Amino acid sequence: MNSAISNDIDQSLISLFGFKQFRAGQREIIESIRSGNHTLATLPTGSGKSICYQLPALIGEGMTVVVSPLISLMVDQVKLLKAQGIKRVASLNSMMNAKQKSAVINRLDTYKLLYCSPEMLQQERVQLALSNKTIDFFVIDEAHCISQWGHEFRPDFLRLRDVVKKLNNPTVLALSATATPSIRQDIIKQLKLPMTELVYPIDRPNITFSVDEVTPNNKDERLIDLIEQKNIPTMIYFSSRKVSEAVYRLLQSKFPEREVAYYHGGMEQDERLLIQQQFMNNQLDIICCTSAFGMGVNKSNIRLVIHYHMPSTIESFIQEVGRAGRDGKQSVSILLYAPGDEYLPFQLIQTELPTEDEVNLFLNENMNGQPEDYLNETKMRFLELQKEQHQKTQKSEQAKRIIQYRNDRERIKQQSIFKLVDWIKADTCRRVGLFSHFQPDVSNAKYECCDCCDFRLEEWRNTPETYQKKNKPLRDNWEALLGELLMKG
Amino acid sequence: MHYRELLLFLFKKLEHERSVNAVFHLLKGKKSAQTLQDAYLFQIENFYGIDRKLKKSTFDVYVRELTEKRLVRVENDQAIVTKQGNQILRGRSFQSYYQIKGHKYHQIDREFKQGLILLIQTVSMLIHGENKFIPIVDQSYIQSRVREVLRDYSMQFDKIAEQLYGELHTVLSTIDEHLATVLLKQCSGYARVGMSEQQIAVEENRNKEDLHLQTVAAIHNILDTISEQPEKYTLLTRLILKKTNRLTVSAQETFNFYQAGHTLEEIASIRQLKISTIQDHFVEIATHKKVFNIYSFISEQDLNEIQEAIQNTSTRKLKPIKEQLREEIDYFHIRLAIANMNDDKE
Ligand SMILES: Nc1ncnc2c1ncn2[C@@H]1O[C@H](COP(=O)(O)OP(=O)(O)O)[C@@H](O)[C@H]1O
Ligand SMILES: [Mg+2]
Ligand SMILES: [Zn+2]
Repeated sequence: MNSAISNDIDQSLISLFGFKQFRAGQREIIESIRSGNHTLATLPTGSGKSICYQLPALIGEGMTVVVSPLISLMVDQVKLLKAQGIKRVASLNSMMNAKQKSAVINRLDTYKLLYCSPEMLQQERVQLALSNKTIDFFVIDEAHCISQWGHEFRPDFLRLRDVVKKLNNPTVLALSATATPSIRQDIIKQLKLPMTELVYPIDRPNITFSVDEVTPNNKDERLIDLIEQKNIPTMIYFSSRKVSEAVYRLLQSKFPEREVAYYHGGMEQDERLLIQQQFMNNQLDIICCTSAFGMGVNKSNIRLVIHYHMPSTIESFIQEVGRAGRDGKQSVSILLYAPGDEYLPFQLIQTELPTEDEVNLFLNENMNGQPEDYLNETKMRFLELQKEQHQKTQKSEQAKRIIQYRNDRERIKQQSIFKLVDWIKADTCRRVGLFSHFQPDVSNAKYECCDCCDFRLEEWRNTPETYQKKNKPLRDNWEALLGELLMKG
Repeated sequence: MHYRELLLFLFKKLEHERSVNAVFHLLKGKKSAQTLQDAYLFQIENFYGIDRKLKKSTFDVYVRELTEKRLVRVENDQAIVTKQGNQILRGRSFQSYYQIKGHKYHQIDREFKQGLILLIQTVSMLIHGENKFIPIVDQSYIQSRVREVLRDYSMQFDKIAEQLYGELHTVLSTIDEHLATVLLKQCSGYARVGMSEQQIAVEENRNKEDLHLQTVAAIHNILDTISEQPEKYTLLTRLILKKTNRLTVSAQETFNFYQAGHTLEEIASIRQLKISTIQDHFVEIATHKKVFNIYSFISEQDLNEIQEAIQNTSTRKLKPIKEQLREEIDYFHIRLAIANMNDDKE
C-alpha cells in the first residue's frame, strides 16, 4: 500500500510540476495527510510548502480547501498554477465582486483546489455549498496566524475549528515557516485535533547575517556605500511606504546606470504586477519595498537583502531574509540599525490596536454612530470580532475584558520587538540567536556565518554574477518597439 | 501638456462658478448629475473621467503647487486664476488637447488598453513558443475577451501576430509618434516586461500624471480611428468592451418605471422619493439614453429658447440663464436641456 502511494506521488511530481525529486519534508508531509493524519508541519520559507497540498489535492478524489491569510498570496498561487497549465483551481476572497463569487460557488464541482480567505469561509452560503462536497483536505497555510502567541494573529482564524466540523471533518494540514514550540502547541489547542507534528529546521545555511549599526544621519550614506560596492540583485525592505519611495529616488539619482524600482501596497494593482514581473525577469537590480512585496516572489538569485528599517518580529525578519539565495549560493542579509529605530515598530502597534478610549467609544456609540470615521480598518476588525466574542458577556464587563485582551496583545507585540532588538544588540552568533527559538540545533553556515563570528562586510567579495540583465527597451521608436513585440526572431 | 497646466485650464473654466473639488470630480468621472452637467455646461466634457484612479491627495498636491507658484488663489473654496496664471493660459488652447475625449471614452478606455496589452503579451509569448506565462493583466473579464479573440482565430498565432502588427502599425502611424512610443513602452512581450507610467515619467523627467495624460490621449486617438473604420481594424475592434449601462443604480430603477409608462410624479410616489430626486434621475437619463423623449417634459419652443439663453449667457451659472427666460421655465427644464446637449448617448 505504502509503496503504491509513493510511486504514484513520485510520478505526479514530474507530470504535474515537472520536478524530479521531492525536497526535504515534502514526501513525509504528503504521505502523512494521504494516510488520513491531521498534520502540523513546519518547513522554511521557499522550501516548497505549497506542493505538500497541491499534489495530493490534484490526485485526490475530492476537493481541497486552502485557507490563506493573505489575499495577494492566494491570487498569486492561483495565477502560478494556471500558468503551469493546472486549471482546476480558483480562489474565493473579499476582493471579488458578488458576481465573481457566485460564479465560483456555482462551479465548485469543477475545482480540485479552492483557495479561500478566512472571512469567506465564515459565510453561510459558502459553508453550505462546501458541506455538500467531498473535501479531502483542509489546509491552513501560514498557520501561525491561528495562535494568539503569533505576531500576525488573525482572530478570523480562531473560527476555523468550527468550519472544519461543518465540512464533515476532512484531514487537516497546518503549514508554517515560523512556528515556535509554544505556537505549535497553541495551534493544536485551537484546532482541537490530534495532530502529527512534522518539524523541519528552518535555518538557511547559505545566508550570511550582518547587523550594521549606523547613526540616524548616516544611514543613507551607508546604504549608498553598500550599493556602490555591490552590484548584485538586491532587495531593500522598509516599514514605511513613503520612505521606500524616498530612498528609491535617492538611489535612482545616485546610480543612474542601475535599474531601481519601488513596490508597496499603496500602488495600483497593474503597476504592482509590472514591477513584480520586471523583477522576476531580471530587468531590475534593486527593489525598494515594504513587506507587501515578495510573498509570491520566487526569484532564485537574490543576493542581498537589506533591512533599512527593522521589522516588528523575528518571524517577519526570517521570512524576508528567506527570499535571498533560493538557488543555494551565498547571499547576505544586512540589517541597518540606528539607535531609536525600534520607535517605528512600537508606534505601529498603536495604529493596530484600539486605545482604551476607542474601545469605550466603540461600545457606546455603535448603536447610532459611525465608528469607521475614527477607527482604521485594522482596529475596526479587531473590535468587531471582540464584540461578537463577548456577546454573552455582561455589558458592564465587556469593555474591561476587551481592554484586557488588547493589553495582552500589546504586550505580546512589544515583546517581539524587544526580542529582535536584543538580537540586534547581541554579540554572539546571529544564526544561533535567530533560529534557536524554532529548532533545537542550528546547522553550520555553508559560507561565512555572521558579523559576530567570521564575516567582515568590507572584505566580502561576492563572485561575479552570472545573471543576464535584460536590455532596456529601445528608446523613442515605436516601430522598433512594435517589431520587438510582435515579430519573431 | 503638463497635468499642472490642464488643472490651471480647468480652474479657469470653472472660475467663480464651482468649487476646487468640482475639477477633481470631473477628472475622476464622478457619476453625478451635477458633475456630468457641469462638464457640458462649461465645455470641458473632453476631460470627464480621464483619470479615474486619481487620488485626492495627489490632486491636493497639485493645487498646493499651483497656489505656491501663485498661479491660482483659493478663496472660499474656489480657485481663482491669477494674472501669472492667465499669462500661461494666454494664446494656448487646451480645449481639444490631443483630441482626448473623456466623455466619449471614459468607460471603455482603460479596459481597451488592458485588453490590448494582454493580447500583445499573449501573442508575443505564443509566437515564441512560450505557452506558460503569467498574464500581465489580472481582470478575468479581460482575460476571457482575449481568449475569445484567440479562439476566433483558431489559435493560429502567426496569423494573429501578423494581423495585430498590421493593424497597430496602421493606426499608430496616424497618431503622434511620441504618444505611440509611450503606449508601446508599457506593453510586455516575450523579450521584456513593459514599463509603468511612473517609470517612463522618470525617464522623461516628467510627472507620472503627465504620462497618464499621454497614455489616455494615445488610447483615445486609437479608439477614434478604429471606430471610424471598424472594418479596417477587425482585431482591435474586438477589444472594445461595450459598457451598456451608464446609469447609477437608482436612476436605472427610475428609468425602468419610466419605460413601463409611469409619470415622474407616479415614480416619486411609488419609490417614496422626493420629486427633486426623481428629477435628478431624469436629468441623468436624458444625458445618457437616446430613447429618452425630452419632449414629454418640455416643448420644442422652450427647448430652443433655453438653448439660445445658454449661448447668450457668458456665465455658466444656472441662475442667470433662468433669469433670461420666462417664469414657467424652471431649473429642471434648463438642466434637461443641458443634458440633451450630450451627443454621445447610447
Ligand atoms: N520538489 C521540488 N523541486 C524543485 N522545486 C520545487 C520543489 N518543490 C517546490 N519547488 C519550488 O520551490 C519554490 C517555493 O515553493 P513555495 O511552495 O512557494 O514555498 P513556501 O510556501 O514554502 O515558501 C517554488 O518555485 C516551487 O516551484
Ligand atoms: Mg507558501
Ligand atoms: Zn555566527
